[in-house]
Amino acid sequence: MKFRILFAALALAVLAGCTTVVKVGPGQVTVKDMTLTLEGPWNKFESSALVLFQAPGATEIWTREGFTLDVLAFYFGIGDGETIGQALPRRTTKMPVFRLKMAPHEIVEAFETVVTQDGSILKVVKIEPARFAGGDGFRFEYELKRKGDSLLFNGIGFATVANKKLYLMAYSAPRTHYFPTLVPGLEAAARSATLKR
Amino acid sequence: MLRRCFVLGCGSAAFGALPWARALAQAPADWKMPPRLQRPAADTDEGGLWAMMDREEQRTRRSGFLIRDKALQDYVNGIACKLAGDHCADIRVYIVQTPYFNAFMAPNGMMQVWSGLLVRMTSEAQLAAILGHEIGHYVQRHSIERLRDVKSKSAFGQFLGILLARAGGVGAIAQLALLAGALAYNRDQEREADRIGVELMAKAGYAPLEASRVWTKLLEELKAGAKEREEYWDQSVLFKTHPPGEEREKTLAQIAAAKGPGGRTGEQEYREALAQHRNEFLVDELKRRTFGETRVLLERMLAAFPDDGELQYFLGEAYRLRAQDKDLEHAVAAYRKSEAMKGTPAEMYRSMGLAQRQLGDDAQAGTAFARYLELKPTAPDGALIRSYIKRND
Repeated sequence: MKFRILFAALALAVLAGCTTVVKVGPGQVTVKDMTLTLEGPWNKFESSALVLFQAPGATEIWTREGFTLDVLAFYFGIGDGETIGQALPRRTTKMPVFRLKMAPHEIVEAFETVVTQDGSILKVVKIEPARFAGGDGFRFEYELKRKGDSLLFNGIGFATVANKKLYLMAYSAPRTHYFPTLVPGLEAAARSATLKR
Repeated sequence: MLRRCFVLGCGSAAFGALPWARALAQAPADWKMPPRLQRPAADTDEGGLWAMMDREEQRTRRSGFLIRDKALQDYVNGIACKLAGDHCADIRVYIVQTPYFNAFMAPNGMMQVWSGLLVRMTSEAQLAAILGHEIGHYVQRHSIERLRDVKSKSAFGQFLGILLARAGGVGAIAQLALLAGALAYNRDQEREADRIGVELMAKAGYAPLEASRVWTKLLEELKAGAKEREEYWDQSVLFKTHPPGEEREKTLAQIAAAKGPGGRTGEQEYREALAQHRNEFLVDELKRRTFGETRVLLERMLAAFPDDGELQYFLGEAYRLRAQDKDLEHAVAAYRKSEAMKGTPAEMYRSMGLAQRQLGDDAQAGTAFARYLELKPTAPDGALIRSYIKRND
């Protein structure tokens, strides 16, 4: 038991030193150069050292209920030739590069590569054109089987290419209870997105 | 992740030892299958190890990654039973959806076989070689032998002993991680498991030469990966904990030659048993993004089944997803070739359209997208595909 207490205390100390969680919303919030209007508060993950395996290399990572449950990842302002996401520590998987000529299908494939580095399995169940941030974009839905604990998640993403940059936000939460409860707030936030084009 | 480390660290079927090649070739063939193992007392180190593995097995049983296909399960169990004789009643095989080449057997009789291994085998005899190797570790009780060896040599080993003594009542995921590093089989154990594996497969009527073919194929893939500096080469347990495999391949071939020709390969049976899952396993394979290795795998499968449109489609995907140098041209060529083959999925036309679009050939891309919609009018991405065609117009 002493070992477990020691381990937990050590882990807490390391985490406390590297990360902070700050409240964002309700109201208008800016992520890069996009503005969102939030109906309720979210928690924003800030870290100088850790990479959250659910969203490696994201511009920003938010949650409503906790990062082990629901995650909203923003991959915003990625220019032509720039890498989407980031390899997990001790991994050498080549991260996909964003190209302006990419079709939505290819952008989703790239997103999948980034978020399944830990061995999770993602299956896209729907992808369709949609307005996002005041312009043409697309919306996709997916299922995710998380490697670490085999939990089944549902996910939803919105993306657009504007000003020669990619803006993609994706949200996932456990399919039972959390996703159906939380996804309306996420969809409202996505609908509120505005970007100067 | 911890479990994966454990699995990789503690027993990789084909990822074994090697400079022992000469000794393996000369190993006496008088090995006898030990009697069934009895459950050790709970207050012993071996009992502790079993208790931890029992919990790991419970997790495996609940895992969303477990492939719950009774027909496939029965098929693999059947092979294990043919090899294991009396031990069959104590062995429980779990097929896990993970696109890496690995199998593992725990001292309590739990065996895991990963989908990345299954998709790489081309015959029942090759799978039997792997299962036989793992059964060899099990019947020889290599895990506890290794634990006692580690315990006798280091203070860390003593610490592990304490953990195992308490394993009956304590949550153990961190302990598993510790064990992962400590209990990797040594080269002599791998040598012994290999020898037993070939003995068992020969006794069960399988062609022993198939054991060395597992290595031949794996080495081809790993070399292709090395050429492209892919992750699997850099991170493979095989090359972190064991020497390279050429000698092992040769030695297994020598043993097989000594046993004489003949034996069943069971290619047809194996193909049929995996047919329902092959597509899913290959989709997972592509997601590893080790395209050099994947191309070698697919080219080898295509050599065996040259008219298989689904394999040809996946070969095109391996080129398209890498998208370097002339990859997109190669992808389109592969897709074109698959058009005349059997079993080509409608998605091939969507992928061909995407590749042609990247290459700037919008007219051809439009034709391919239209064909996709023709074949799959209710596709869930139909509206988006139509928007691609409209944009081209």
